[in-house]
Amino acid sequence: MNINKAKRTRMEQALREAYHRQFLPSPGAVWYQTVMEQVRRESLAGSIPFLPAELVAWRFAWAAAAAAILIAICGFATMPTDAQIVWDLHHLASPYEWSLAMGE
Amino acid sequence: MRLIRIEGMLNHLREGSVGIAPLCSAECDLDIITRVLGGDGEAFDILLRRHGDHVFKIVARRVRAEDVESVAQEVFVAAFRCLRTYGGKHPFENWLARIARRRCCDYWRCQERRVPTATGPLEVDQRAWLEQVSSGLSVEAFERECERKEAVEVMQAAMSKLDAEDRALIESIYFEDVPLREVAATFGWSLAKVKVRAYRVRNRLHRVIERMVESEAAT
Repeated sequence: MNINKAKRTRMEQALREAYHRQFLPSPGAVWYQTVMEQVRRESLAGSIPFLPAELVAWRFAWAAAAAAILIAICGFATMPTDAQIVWDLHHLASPYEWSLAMGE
Repeated sequence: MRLIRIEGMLNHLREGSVGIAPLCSAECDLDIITRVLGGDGEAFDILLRRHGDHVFKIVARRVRAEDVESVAQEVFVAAFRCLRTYGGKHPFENWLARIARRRCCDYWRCQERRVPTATGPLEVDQRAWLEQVSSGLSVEAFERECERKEAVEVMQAAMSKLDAEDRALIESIYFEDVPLREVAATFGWSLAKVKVRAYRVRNRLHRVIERMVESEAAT
C-alpha cells in the first residue's frame, strides 16, 4: 500500500477515534472498599511515630559534625610534641619500654 | 457518628453545588482535604467516590483491562500519601489526573522490563480495516469503521510498539488534547522538551503505522 500524507493522517485520525471508543469499565462497589481499606492501612502506618532513617540522620547531622570537631581538637591537644617524643626515645632506651610508656 | 459526619458533609456538598459548580467543587475538595490532613482519614472516601470514576476512565484507556483496578487503586493510595503536597492552585481533579498519567507511564515501564513488547503481524480483518480507513471514506463510513473492534486492536498494536514515555505523550497530546503545559507539569519536563518530544513521537508513530502497513504488504 502506498502511504501518502493524506492516508497517514486518516490512519492517525482513525487510531485517535479508536482510542476514544474503547470500552471503559466503571469502578464497582468492591473496588471503592478495597481502596479505602488500603488508605486506612496507609493512614495507620502514617500515625506510628517512627522517624524515617534519613530524617534522623539529618536532624543529628550538626551534632555529629560538632562531635567530630571536638574529638579532633582533643586529639591534637593530647598529641605529644616532637621534642617530647625525642626525649622519650632518649630516656626510655628500649623500644619495649617506650611502647609500654606509650600505653601499648 | 462517623456516618453522621459524612452524611452531614455530603448534605453540605449538595447544598454548595447549587451555585457555581466548578468553583464550589474545588472549595469542597479543599475542605475535605483539610479534614483528611487533620486526621479524618475516612473523609477521603468522599474524594474517592467523587473522582473515582474519572481516574478509572483515565487509567482504563491507558493500561490493560486486567490491570485497571490495581493501577487506579495505586493512584488513589499515592494521592493519599502525598496529599500534603497538593497546593490547591489547580482543581483536585487535575492533580489526580496527573498522578494517574504518571502511574500509567510507570506501569508500561514496568511491563517493558518484565515482558519485551512483541506483537505479531496484523490479522486479515485488521489489515482490511487499515486499508479501509486509509482510503477516502465519507464521514459516516469513517465513523462506522472506527466503531469496529479491529480499530482498538490496531490502535493497541501500534501503541505497543512505542516505549512508555512515547506512549504517554501520544495519548496525552494527540489523543486526549491535554495542554502541553499540563503534560510538562505531569512529567516534570520543560515546555520546550515536551514540544520537541511531541514532534518526534508523532513521527515515530507515523513510522510505526508505515511499518505495520509495509509488513502487511510484504506478507
